[in-house]
Amino acid sequence: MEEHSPLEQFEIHPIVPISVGGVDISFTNSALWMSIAVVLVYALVMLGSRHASMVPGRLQALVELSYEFIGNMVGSTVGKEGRRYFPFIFTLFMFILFGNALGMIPGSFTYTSHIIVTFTMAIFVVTAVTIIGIVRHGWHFFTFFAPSGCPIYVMPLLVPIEVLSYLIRPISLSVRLFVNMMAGHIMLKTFAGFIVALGAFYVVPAIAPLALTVGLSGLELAIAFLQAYVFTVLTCIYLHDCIHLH
Amino acid sequence: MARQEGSPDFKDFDERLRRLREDARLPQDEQAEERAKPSIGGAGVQVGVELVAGVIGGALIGYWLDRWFDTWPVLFLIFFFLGAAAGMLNAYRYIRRISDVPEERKNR
Repeated sequence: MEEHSPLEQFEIHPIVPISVGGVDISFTNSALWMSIAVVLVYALVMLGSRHASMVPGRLQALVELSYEFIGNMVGSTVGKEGRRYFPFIFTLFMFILFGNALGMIPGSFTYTSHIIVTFTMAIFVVTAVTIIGIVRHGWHFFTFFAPSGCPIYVMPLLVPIEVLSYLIRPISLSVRLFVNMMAGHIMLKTFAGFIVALGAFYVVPAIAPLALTVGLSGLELAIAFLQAYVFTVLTCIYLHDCIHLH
Repeated sequence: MARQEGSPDFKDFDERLRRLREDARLPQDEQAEERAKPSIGGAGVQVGVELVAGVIGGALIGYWLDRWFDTWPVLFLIFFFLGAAAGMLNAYRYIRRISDVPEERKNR
């Protein structure tokens, strides 16, 4: 029997090896599943909105549901000014949601379980939000780091803390998503491994880990959605903070 | 593409929907309740992540600055504790946000 480690699923291996000037830019399984997610999201939205009818069909209802869900989220967290960032936030949500959900297919690859993927998204979000804030408010943006109404002698301590708490945002944003996805998948794989290990000897006790795996799969699907939601809602909150300052 | 935004079907759509909802005694806006509060699912994990990210982020920034200015370990130690404080601040804000307490700064 070959070795099956619960961590094996996170291995990245090149499908089409490409090397440009000594830099490895191979098309990997991670890139493959990202492409699949993008194609699926695109197909869903395009097919769902092709025959726009008064009484929506299943596909159209799904597209309208996700559109309204993100639309309401942007409207209630960012406010009116947030409408123009809707396309970006919708894309972000769908990309993460499909990444998480596609990872639930046995044998697939979960790209959101890699810190470098989530960190790239998080640093992009925070950089973009900072630029939006600076463009909108100019130098006034930096009052963001100076809490109003506190004595001047605590400023030397408070300002560095505020700046740090701002710089930490991409870390907490990316770690949250990556930890949730990785831990869930390790847990799922470990319990699924117990089925084989126990079932090889006695069939009856193997039912327990099987039942647990079924339950965990449901839980993981819920987490897949929740984490995509949390990532997008935090993006909206950061956007709100930068547009309105405090 | 068949888009019907301009078609007469949509003209009085909102009005008809409102009337139908009234007849059926449905709330006017189903999402009003959901919208009020973000989910608190896994709040413990979220707060934990904020705290850990604060310490890690502070330590990393301090370490880089030390390497830059060649002052190891002064800045590392300072930023380690500042990062921990910043993590607590983020965790505190997160808890306030999910428990619907408005931040007092906003009122000033």
